[in-house]
Amino acid sequence: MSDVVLEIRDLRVEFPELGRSVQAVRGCGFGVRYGEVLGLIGESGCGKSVTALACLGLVPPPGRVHGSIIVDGEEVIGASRKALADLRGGKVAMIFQNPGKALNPFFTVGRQMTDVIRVHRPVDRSGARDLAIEALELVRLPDPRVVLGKYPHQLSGGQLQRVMVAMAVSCDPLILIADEPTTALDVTIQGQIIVLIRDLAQSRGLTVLFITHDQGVVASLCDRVAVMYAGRIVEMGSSDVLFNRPAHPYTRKLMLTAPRLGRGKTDLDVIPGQVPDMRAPPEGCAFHTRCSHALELCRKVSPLTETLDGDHTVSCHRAKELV
Amino acid sequence: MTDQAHLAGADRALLTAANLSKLYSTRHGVIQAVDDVSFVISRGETVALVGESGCGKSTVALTLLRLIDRDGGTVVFDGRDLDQLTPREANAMRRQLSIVFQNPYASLNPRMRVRDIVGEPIHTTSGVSRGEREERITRHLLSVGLGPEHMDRFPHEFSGGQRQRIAVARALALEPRLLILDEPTAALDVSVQAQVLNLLRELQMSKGLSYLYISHDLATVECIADRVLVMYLGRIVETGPVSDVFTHPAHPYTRALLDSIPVPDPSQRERLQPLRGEVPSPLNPPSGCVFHPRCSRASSRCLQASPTLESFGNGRSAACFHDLIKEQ
Amino acid sequence: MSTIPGASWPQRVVRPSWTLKLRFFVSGHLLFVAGATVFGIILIMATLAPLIAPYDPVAIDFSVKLGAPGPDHWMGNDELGRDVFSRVLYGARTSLMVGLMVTVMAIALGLPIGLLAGYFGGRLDTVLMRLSDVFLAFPPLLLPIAITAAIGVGLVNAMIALAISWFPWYARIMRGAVMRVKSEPYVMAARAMGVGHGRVMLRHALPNCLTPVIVQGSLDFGYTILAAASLSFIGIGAQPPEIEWGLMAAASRTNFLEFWWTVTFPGLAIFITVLSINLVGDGIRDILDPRFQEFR
Repeated sequence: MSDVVLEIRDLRVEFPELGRSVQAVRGCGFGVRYGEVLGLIGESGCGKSVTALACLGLVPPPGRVHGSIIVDGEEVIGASRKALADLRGGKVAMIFQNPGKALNPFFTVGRQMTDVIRVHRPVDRSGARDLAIEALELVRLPDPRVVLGKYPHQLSGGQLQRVMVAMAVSCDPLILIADEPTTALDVTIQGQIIVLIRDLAQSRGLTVLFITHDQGVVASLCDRVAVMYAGRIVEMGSSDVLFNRPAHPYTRKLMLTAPRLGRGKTDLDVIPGQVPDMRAPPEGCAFHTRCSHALELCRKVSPLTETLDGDHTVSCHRAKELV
Repeated sequence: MTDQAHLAGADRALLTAANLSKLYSTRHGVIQAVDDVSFVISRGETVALVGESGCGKSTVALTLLRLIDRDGGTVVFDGRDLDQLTPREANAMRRQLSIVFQNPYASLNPRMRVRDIVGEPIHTTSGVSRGEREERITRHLLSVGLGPEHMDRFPHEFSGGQRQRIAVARALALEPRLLILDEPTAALDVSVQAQVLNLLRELQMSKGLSYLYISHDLATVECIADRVLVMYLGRIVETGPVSDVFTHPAHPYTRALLDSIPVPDPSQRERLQPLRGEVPSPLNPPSGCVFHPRCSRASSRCLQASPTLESFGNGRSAACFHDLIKEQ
Repeated sequence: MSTIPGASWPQRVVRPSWTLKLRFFVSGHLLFVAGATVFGIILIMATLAPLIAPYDPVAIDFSVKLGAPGPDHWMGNDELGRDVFSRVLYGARTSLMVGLMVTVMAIALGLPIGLLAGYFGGRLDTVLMRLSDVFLAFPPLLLPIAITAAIGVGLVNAMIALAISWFPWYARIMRGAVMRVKSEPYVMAARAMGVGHGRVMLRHALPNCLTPVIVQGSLDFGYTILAAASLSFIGIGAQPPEIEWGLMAAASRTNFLEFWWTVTFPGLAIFITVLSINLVGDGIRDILDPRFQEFR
């Protein structure tokens, strides 16, 4: 498995609270292969963002992280401060949902970009500036020199997200983690960012872990998809398989609830109920409270991950009979 | 000008807005947020208002609710011109119009109980006894799928979907006839979005409500709306029945919006063709057709003259010099 | 509408026992608990002063004039032979009352002004806030001095003077908070439902703006005690035979080098009271901070 650049094994993250703690991630495991775009999809509160933060050692206190995250052969959990500093922005870059809040309003875009570049690359100020311009050209921002002199509030949301992507790729990272980077943007701009990330992955061999709740975004961007529910990966496989032959009841329902054009004015499929309270997640399979196929077994025993065919894996007691 | 077929059948019209306009003056100049917008909402109908952020769709909603003053145009509700009502009549009329906001995490007062949130609009009407108010609150909560046991809880005790149900119950409190839905599912998860959209459809059928559904998500528009108005930079660029407009868009902008939606099907990945560029600054709108800088078909004519909204039958109209439908 | 399955499912929430909650609270807010404990003791001692005090605080006894602290008089005696410990106990009543009254009066004056100015904005805002600013332009103790000079010397007048010089802070805090809350969607939602300005201000703006006012008020409670004591010290606050810590310190200022206890104990009382109130105030700010509300 030398082609796996990011491997997460049995990741557990909990936030201690009164009495019981919030179990944000409960034994999540998957690997991201070199050069692929992996989509991590799930509803809010399923632990997908916390998983992403854990990859950079950025889980906020009082969160406790257990398990193993290996980036390019090096363990992240428990790594030294220096190792983490080299990792962040160097090997792994991250972009967030709200680009406006990720930049400091008091400094120009150019100043912030060159500062980041100089941390990770042995260049002087003008060299960093050249690299910044190069990165802005790469993300197809018109007039990069003008953009460098602007303050964040002078740019639109779409432009800011391009700046964030430019900043992320300017240090030539191995992996780009994108946490819902298009959710706050208009559809037309969302489309542009998707195409941009797709092109970057293809042209530069960038590995991308793309976190989203939008099935459409996953389908148009990702090679493989991991579906997360209540802190665990319930199903994983290639986009084609997951969209056309989903095996887990949750994945099936999730694919059906997304409204898509061409169906006309009809009721949508719903998943009954809500995502579970992670202070007291259900025993057994976490989805049994909302699953129409749930058996007595599902209420008691947590299903193991089995391989269906190729790299299609699923965690469901009834996956094989339901397919 | 627009929707002549609908204007003719004025007895079916619940709300007729004609030539609405709204200017904002800012430090940097004047912005025409809404420019000559006209539309009709019939009884029991859902009209969707779509466009990117900043296109003026929310401003239209706020002027209808009279939360902001419009600078021009008339609004006729239930056959009566809103400008010619006495304050008392205007107040009574206002109750027939209500709104559900986008973010249920922010639109509910965190320090009020559900009982008071849903009951608050009833407070504004005189002559409702305490018992009757309780009865109404319970009835509205039940109609959105919540129970009396939720009455004494605070908003933070609910999930996003449940909060949006509370917001819907509040909007229904005064038995309105027209509900403005301002991106009601934008802040919700997809599975919850489906629950809320289905609820809204059921309420419409059981109560005979009319909806003005404001959204940028064309996929949800298709499953809830009958007709659609597409707005760009404060103007309506296309209107018509949803099924026709979405299958055969007549304006390049509508088409571009449809092509920008990521389809949840990996085999149709290449269909994603996002529109280039960004919405221009309303402070300095482009000459001629405001869409021309982003339009793949812009000709020299588009740079100079501004197309008007022309009706071409079947309840449809578009503001474009090109005949997109014939080309198809 | 029961066709929506699970729409009203209750969330499973684990309710921790109250002892656990208390332990969690104490460990998270140690300074607040310490301050509150000290302040509670001061409050009890002030309330029960007539029962605790070993002597009549105004009884003059020249036989023990300026007597040093000893087993009979724990804090010694002042220049008229009065028991300092008893006087410190009674003085707590005055000081706490002054602190409370000044803070309440300042809030009562400043809160409505800030609410109106912040909510309506525009010209009303300009007029109200500039008027308040006039009171802020004076050096802190000069304005009360001027006011007491105008309306007469005395504890009540000193309190009024302090409230007048303090209220603009509350007006400012309230105005800022209201301007922030005013743009919240729930205020817009209430307006959209036809709720009038008065009700929006009282039901929506006010409750959501109280946190900073409460925090500032609890901190000011201490400062006003200090300010009132200062006024008494310079002779325009409490007048004999009233018992007040600042006045006690003032009366002994000529001979405190030899008879340190006459000044030290009232001073210490002021110090401990103000410190405990400040700890409580800081604690309230932490507890009411929305970031901590997750741990409810």
